[in-house]
Amino acid sequence: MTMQTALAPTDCPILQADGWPGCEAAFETALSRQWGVTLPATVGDWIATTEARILRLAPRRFWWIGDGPMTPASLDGAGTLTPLAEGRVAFQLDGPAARARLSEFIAVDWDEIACRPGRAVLAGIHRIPVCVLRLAPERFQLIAPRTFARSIAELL
Amino acid sequence: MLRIPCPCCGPRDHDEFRYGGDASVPRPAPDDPDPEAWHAYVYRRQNPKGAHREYWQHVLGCRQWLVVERDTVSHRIGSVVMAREWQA
Amino acid sequence: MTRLSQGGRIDRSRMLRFTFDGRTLTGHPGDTVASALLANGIRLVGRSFKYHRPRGILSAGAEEPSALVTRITGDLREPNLPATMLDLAEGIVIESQNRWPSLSFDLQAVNGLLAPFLGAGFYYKTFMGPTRGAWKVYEHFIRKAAGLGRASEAAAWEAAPVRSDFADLAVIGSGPAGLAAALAAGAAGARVMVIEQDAVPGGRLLDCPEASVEAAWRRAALDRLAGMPSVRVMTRTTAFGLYDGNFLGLAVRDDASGIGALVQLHAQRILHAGGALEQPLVFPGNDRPGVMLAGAARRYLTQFGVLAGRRVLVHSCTDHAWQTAFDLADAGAAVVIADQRPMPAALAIAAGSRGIRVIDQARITATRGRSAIRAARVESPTGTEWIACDLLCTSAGWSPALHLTSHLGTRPIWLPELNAFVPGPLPPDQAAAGAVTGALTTGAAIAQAAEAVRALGFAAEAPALPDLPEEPHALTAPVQTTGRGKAFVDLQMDVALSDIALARREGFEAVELLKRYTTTGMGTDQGKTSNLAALRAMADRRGIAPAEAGTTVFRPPFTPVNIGTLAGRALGQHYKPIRHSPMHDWHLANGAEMIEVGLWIRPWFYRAAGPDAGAAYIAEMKTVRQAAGLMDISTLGKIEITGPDGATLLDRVYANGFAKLPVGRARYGVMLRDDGIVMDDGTTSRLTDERWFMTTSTARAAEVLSRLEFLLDTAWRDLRVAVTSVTDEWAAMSIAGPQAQAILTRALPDLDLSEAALPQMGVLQATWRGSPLRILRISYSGEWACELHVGARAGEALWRHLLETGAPLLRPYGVEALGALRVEKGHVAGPEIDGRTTLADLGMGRMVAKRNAYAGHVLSRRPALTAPDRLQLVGLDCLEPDKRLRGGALIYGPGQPESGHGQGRVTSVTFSPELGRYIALALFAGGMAAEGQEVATVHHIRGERVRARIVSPHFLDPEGERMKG
Repeated sequence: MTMQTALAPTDCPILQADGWPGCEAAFETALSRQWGVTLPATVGDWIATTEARILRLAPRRFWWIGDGPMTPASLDGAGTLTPLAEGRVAFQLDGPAARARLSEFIAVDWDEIACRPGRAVLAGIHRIPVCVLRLAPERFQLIAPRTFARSIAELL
Repeated sequence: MLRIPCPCCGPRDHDEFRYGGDASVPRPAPDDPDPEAWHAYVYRRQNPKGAHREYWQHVLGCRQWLVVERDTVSHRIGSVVMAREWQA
Repeated sequence: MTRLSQGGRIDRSRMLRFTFDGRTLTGHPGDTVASALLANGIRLVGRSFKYHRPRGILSAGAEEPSALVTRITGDLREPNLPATMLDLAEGIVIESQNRWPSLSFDLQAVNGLLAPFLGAGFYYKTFMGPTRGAWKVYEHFIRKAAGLGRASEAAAWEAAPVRSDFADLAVIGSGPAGLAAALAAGAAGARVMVIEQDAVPGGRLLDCPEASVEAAWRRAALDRLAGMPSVRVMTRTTAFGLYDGNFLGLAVRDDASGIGALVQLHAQRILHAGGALEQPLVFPGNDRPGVMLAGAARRYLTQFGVLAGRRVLVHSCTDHAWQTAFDLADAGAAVVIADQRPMPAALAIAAGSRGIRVIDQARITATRGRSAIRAARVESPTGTEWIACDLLCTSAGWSPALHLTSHLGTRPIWLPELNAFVPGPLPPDQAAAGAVTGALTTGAAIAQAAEAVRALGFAAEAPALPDLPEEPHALTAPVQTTGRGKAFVDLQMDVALSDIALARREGFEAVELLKRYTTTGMGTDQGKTSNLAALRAMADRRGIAPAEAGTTVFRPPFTPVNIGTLAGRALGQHYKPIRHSPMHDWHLANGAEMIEVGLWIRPWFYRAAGPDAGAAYIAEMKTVRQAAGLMDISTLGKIEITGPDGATLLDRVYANGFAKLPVGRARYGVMLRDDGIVMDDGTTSRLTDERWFMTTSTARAAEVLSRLEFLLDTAWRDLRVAVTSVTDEWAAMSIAGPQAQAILTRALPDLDLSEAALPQMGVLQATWRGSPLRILRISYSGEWACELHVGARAGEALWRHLLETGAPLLRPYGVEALGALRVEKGHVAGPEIDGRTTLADLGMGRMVAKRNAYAGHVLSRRPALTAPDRLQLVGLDCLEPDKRLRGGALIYGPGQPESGHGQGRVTSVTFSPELGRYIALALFAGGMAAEGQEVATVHHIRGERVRARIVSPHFLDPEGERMKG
């Protein structure tokens, strides 16, 4: 079994949106309008648009993963935007061995509903926080902090 | 390996979390001047044998703080709720 | 001992060559090393731990206490491997252990003569004089004389594979219960993992000949399981531990590579079906090569086609052992049965029809034979006689292999009809079936397994029971005999009945004490064939029932696990992850000597400055103080704080105030723990009304972020503020020195870096070649300095640009010089912020004089934390020019005796090129009240004593003029 990995990571610009407690509805309305999408409803769900992948990271936190509107703009006072343009890199893992490889480091049940395509798994590889977007049964995008990129590339 | 069912991320191994101590102790207000109140908050704990409600943060996952019910004898995990929804 | 011309499940079409103690022998694929040795007529395979008695092969499984061998692969020696569990492979090299010069002639067998002096606990009683130190001399020789195998010094392996796995049902064991459970749950669609430690699945079914109903059922079951995609059968896999959360540790043996893989299995439900371990009878001389468990003899015949003896004596108190007698007789051996019980009528007929002589109510009181058994003395109501034999099969009944059921603390319970312990009450997501519960027949095992699977919640139908023949399984409690010669209880630890009697006489009766005093059950086999006998022996002598004597609890691992397997991939470089700064490659290419700081790797010093750290840091310090230095500070923790309530949050977590900080300004801040002790320091800048940029120390970044998130999620839920780690977003560098301002102005001509635009503690936001840039005018070194934070992708480019612009004056400097510079200025860092010091201790009490609603405030005012004689920050001047001060040294005040904890400690030390002497920061009782006093600093471990004077910790430029430019 082989696994194609782009062990050369690519840049992964992100824009993070946080909503204030008690303002969830207003926040999501404003963000939805700004990003032009229907936001994923459940933590861990992500959707793809032509420009980006949009992930719900936490109950009141979203990521726009891709190049995009980097200027923080108003969210009607219901939240804030923080650019995370340079802090992360992405690895592409494809092939039947990709899942086995990820199982060496991440203790999640890839058969579970929670890990099907369209879901992201936020977990740790050897104590490093990573975000794994399942694109297809055997295709994964692994997003990791830039300063750990070499370590992860070596591990994989 | 404790398996903690994070409400956001599903069941995960405990080494994805940071332990935060007894969740049944409310924090005094920031301007509370009473040393007894702060002493109780920082130092006094029941240390029960049995069900214990405690804080865990899912640091390698969603980074949410949770309140987990763990049996201190058997390590069985009971209920798990978001800390935001928890009243001490 | 012979390989029969037919029978067994080995591959007779191929031969394998292997080496044992230098002799080349042959076997077949499917053999274990033990079966191959037996087939070659070899019965002496080792020497015992203490007495160096000749020992052979007792069993056919992992419970083997005696046949421990060393496998040699190149430089690699793997000792203490049970020969019964080693697959035979082409070219495998095996050595026996614990003998010199050879197995057959072992000089250390003289220990046997010293046996009276080497009883249990001998090292507490003998070898105790003439001096106190004498034991150390004796111990050296005693250690050499005893022991099992010799380990390898060679660094062995590459990383072992590790993976996580998941199952709805984990079935431990692939005997009839395990297979039946897998069939039932698999048919219901569950994800099942069957875990079998042997190379071949089947458990006790492997004892039955190929033509039997049991064997046919086994083959059919395995076929059906192979056709179920959700079922996996893992062989050569030992479930070595059951941990919280139904988490199982599995060690997979891959005999080709040696080290084995680790599987961390998360199982929703667990079925324990690990079977039961046959126990040997205890009688004098029961340890000779050729004494074997009855079931093992049957296994060697059926599985490997090896007849372990031609003249067989079967001694037991169980019906099961008679099946061994019948099978061996059918294979051509001459068999005598000596049963401890009165004659069992039904079995006697079957024995008679095979010409087997039966002696009932028999006891064995001695055996003969040096390197192999030759005869046994049998006593019975009909008389006493020596019976010649080359194989003595013994069976004292069965002890369930319940270890995993007790790993989480469930105590086993005594089952009187089994004369053994069975699993205690299991939690609702675990069950047990088959021989492990004491159900000793195949039919009972299958039925129990189906029931257990249903009880665990799987919608399973009972598998059809095969038409099984009757399986006699009656047994009685074994009788342990004494006589001339040692009656061994624990073969591996050389513990005999006499040792147990000794322990009783000396008061070590409780089972925990018995174990530790006699060492019974403490070997690599962990007493799998001896614990029960030891317990029974002590209970008999105490006159109580074995159930009353209790049992010790079992802890993982069930069998020894290679530490390399547990280490998995975390070896060498991969032991922990390494974090790299964006300028990492530049440092390596430009002569940086690197050092690990936590998870980061940072420049320690640059070789251009000096040949070693001690020389280089001084040169780098001079550069910073006289010209300009550039330091990579990308490792600082950085947190972005945004929201209308950011000011409120900062005001509450920092001891000093932040709410009124103007936009475009930075401020040094200190955070306290809730108990009033200083937690961390850093600098926070206000970028806009609602956006803040916080830096923390490298070491505490994660802790600070978690604390902020904790407070926001629990106590201060209404605050509208988001906190995010941005450590990786920014490459950060600090430029410092009298020339720094000029160089920076030249490097960034588009920016106004004048005093008006960028005052001390000012913040500038800009861009540089398209990347975001934040300039903070703050100084750690005391010189004119700025921190530059630029987008991480542009880090190396900006670094190079600054160095090119500033050449030749601007030089890089490393963490050694960084630490030295701040000592000269009296800035506290990790060694002073060590979890024991308060703001007042560190000389920063005035920072919070007017504040009160910050975290840690109230408890920081308690009497113990405000006592005037607390250890407080001072500076130290070294008074002895030919010596140096040392961090960690204790400080003794004038006139104080120089022993004990003293009155303080030295925390940070450096040589100051400007002052021409060693200086230090220290914590001293009463602090600056002792200014001017001469003290002694003593490092007891290094044996150093140096005189010093207490001075202000601000050694250079105490008014802070240099920062002003």
